[in-house]
Amino acid sequence: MDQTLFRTEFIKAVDKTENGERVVELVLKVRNMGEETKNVGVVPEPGPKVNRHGSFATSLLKVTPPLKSGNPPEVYVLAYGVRSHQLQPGITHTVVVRYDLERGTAPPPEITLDVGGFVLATVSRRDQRELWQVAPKKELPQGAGQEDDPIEPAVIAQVTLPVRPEVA
Amino acid sequence: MVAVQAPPATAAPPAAKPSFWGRAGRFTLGVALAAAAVYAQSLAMPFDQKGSFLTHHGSLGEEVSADRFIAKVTKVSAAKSVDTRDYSGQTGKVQTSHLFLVLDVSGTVEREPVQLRGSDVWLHAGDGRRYQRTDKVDESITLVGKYLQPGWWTSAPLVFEVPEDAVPGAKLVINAPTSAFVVDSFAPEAEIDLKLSEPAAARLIEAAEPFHPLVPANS
Repeated sequence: MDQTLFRTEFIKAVDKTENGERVVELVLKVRNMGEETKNVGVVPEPGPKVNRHGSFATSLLKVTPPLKSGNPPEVYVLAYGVRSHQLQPGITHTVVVRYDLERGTAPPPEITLDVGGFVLATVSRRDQRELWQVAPKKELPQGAGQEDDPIEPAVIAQVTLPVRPEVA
Repeated sequence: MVAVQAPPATAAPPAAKPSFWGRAGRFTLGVALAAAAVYAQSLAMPFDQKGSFLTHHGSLGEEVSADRFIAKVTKVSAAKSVDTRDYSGQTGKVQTSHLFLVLDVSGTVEREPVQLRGSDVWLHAGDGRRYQRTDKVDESITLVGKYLQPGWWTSAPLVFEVPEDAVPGAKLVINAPTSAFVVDSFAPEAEIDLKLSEPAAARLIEAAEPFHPLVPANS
């Protein structure tokens, strides 16, 4: 999937049990198509608006049905068993999004992800730097003082993944 | 009723009419000032450059002075794996399917100590892509986080994870650390050319070490 700034492939959703805790891990392949090292970012909290300056994980807008986890999911880059939080330009990374499920809940048989995109746009009339920002549904507010306003993101694709138990 | 009064008869006598040359002179001055104002606009810095740093250039092996600090890259090596140390002192091996560029860097300052942060050091690839130092290697064994003090040189590696095509033409860029609160748009930066021409880059990649130790043996 082409998110302009990133090229992303959704590999799988895995249902595992670790130390008696049930977790769902989304495994993605992400290539940074931009010019600069990017942080992997955090998955946005449920709600209609997101941080316009978010990074990759901000574009994982919504999971339906929601995965019941007490904490926000952890997002990291994994390579040869080493975790990182950087997406280097020109490198395809394996990204893991890990949901720790609440005790006694089972994951749904399949999940659908709403995925957003990115646009290169000026921040505002006052701050004319062109930065990569989350693609909005309508347009990015350009007023002075609105530089950090949360925005309503555009859903550019929906991806459905079956949640499969981990094959040991 | 509103009475309309005629202006008092004792109004000031009209000022003497300026001569033709007087008026022409003022007119010329006005036009000249307006033209100068328009011209001055063309000297204004474009917005993109306003936030940029004052760059000092140099290359591998040279001492590059960027006013607030002096930096020198003594050696460039490439490796497929390096080691790192975590907060508890455990060492571990880190591999990549790309390349770790390990730069041996020394730095000092003339007067005030300076602490380098991760966001102050960048590797610029020949094609303009910018890489932050890798977070797979703990800061404590790199130059990031260390203080540069007046009087002696502090030496430590900087490690970047890059794809092979980012090696030719690569440069190390170090910004003078600025405060998080005060925006200093005139902070200097040092740009150090790593002398990686196409053939030199190919040789470096060819000679990439399978493992490059970073953790000092005695710690």
